[in-house]
Amino acid sequence: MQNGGLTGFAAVFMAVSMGSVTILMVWCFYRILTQPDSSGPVGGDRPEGAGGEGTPGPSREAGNL
Amino acid sequence: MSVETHQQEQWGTRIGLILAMAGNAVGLGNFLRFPVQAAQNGGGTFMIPYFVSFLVLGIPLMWIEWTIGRFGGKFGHGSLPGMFDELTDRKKPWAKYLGVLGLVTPLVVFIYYTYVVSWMLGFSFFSATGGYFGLGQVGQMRHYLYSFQNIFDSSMHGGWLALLFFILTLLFLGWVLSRGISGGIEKLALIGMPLLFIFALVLMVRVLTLPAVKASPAQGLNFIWNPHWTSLSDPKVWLAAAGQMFFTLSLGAGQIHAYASYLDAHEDVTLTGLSTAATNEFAEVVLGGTIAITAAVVFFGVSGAVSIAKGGTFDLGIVAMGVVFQGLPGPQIWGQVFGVLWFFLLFIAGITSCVALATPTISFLQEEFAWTRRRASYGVMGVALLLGLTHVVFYQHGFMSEWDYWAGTFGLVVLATIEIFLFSFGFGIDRGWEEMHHGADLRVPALFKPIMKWVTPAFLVLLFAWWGWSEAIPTFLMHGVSNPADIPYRWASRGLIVMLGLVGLWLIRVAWRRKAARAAGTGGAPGEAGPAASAR
Repeated sequence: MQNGGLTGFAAVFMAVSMGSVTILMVWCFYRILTQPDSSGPVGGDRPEGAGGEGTPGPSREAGNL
Repeated sequence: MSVETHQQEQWGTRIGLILAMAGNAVGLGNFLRFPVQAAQNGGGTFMIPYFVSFLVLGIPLMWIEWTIGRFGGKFGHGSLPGMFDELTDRKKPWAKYLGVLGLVTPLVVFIYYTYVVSWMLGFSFFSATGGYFGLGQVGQMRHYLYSFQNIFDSSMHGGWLALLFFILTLLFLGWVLSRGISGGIEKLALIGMPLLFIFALVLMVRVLTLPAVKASPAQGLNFIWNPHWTSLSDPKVWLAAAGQMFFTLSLGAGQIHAYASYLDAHEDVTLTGLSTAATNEFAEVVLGGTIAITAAVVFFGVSGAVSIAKGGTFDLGIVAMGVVFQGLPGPQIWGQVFGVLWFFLLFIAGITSCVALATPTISFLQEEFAWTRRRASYGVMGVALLLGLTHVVFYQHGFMSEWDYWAGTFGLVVLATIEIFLFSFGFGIDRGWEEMHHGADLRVPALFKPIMKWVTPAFLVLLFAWWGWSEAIPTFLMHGVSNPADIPYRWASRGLIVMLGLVGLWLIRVAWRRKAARAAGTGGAPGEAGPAASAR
């Protein structure tokens, strides 16, 4: 069997890498879950004219700030 | 016959959307490609260029693709031809034809990737039934895999067994996709993604508590994470990190745009986009960086793991892991259980990406040709079966390698390079920045604006030029093909991609002519045919 284990530098790189992506994910989900509409339907009311067969599409200016 | 248009479909919940987008990004590469790349490119120090790539390439492109997708969705477009047309204010007729890459690339990848994903279903079944137990040597397990991949070799399996699993996978995908965005894709993600994380966490704990065989789990982790400082000055390491970022976030293929097009025009894309990227990174760095390579080092030692990793993704993910499950302490049933967890985890990771890959083509057929979702879904599965048969039959001749390189590797960089120039310079970075922040729950730091305009395009051009010079030219000239008998098959494989591209261009031309005709019929100018026409 080979000898040795996790070196100090390897442990630091692993901890920092895994820790940073974990913190980023937790922070993102915290931000989302604390939004009032996090589990509700996406978008809510659709803008006038943006849905339905045969209805006119939204104007070019509709969210194009 | 009622036709459900693009604009009538939407995501059900924000969490469902994030999990579906994360499901798109999390794939086989997170668990198999990342640890190999890290170990081969500097170990722990690989994470420095990796995180730099995340910041200047991954995150900016992710936000740009979400923004383009939501913007196109406002005009009834779920695929890139229409989105590129809108980005250029319908003033550049060539823009929509560039969007053909956003149809052909995901379709090509979908076809061969689904075939690979169906192998994971097959090996889940073999694990459950103990099919490969008793083949405890790497050579035996490799023969078992190769016999499965080569349908003419019935020495270990019934011939054509791989085709059966391919058909089953396509039928399942057709069923999910035909149920729509919230009823099919989102439900799959809501069930599949939590399962994937649970399976991965269980496997991670099992691997980290393994008794040392040829090495300890700590040595396995050390193999991946031990830094090699000199690698930081090697440009190949930086490009490898950029490439990994591309693959892992599923950038440059059109799926993110397609999914984002089903968002409401006022829905956030910045925080939601960052959340999907973060979820993918967790799956890759924490889970992917712990399971397969660590287990391989424990059972085969460092030199054995290096040798296996050089054999490719499937040697690590299927051959080595197959041997590992047979060598687990305790009764065989535990090995079978962990085998099912591993291969079904890979199946879930793959299948949630497959539904995303099929979505641009389905959206295009729905919007531009008024196909029903059911018809478009099963139609795409039919095309996938027909063209996928070439991979089933000619796999051993390198048929899939050609598609994987030209569409699944090089094609992604080409498309991303085009889209970022269209966004930053065609649409305009100021307008794009405002569009991105419309309805945003997260204000993106202003630093990212010049990054999007200058740094990311420069990075992409560099990546494109480097890969073009160092890989694409030798690959095109087939310098690495060891068996000359495979060359005609490889040319035929490339010919199929070209044929699909030409069909895509023709379909775009037909679709826009129909729009122009409709616009003329309703009194509009042909050049103004767009959202209202496409919604009908």
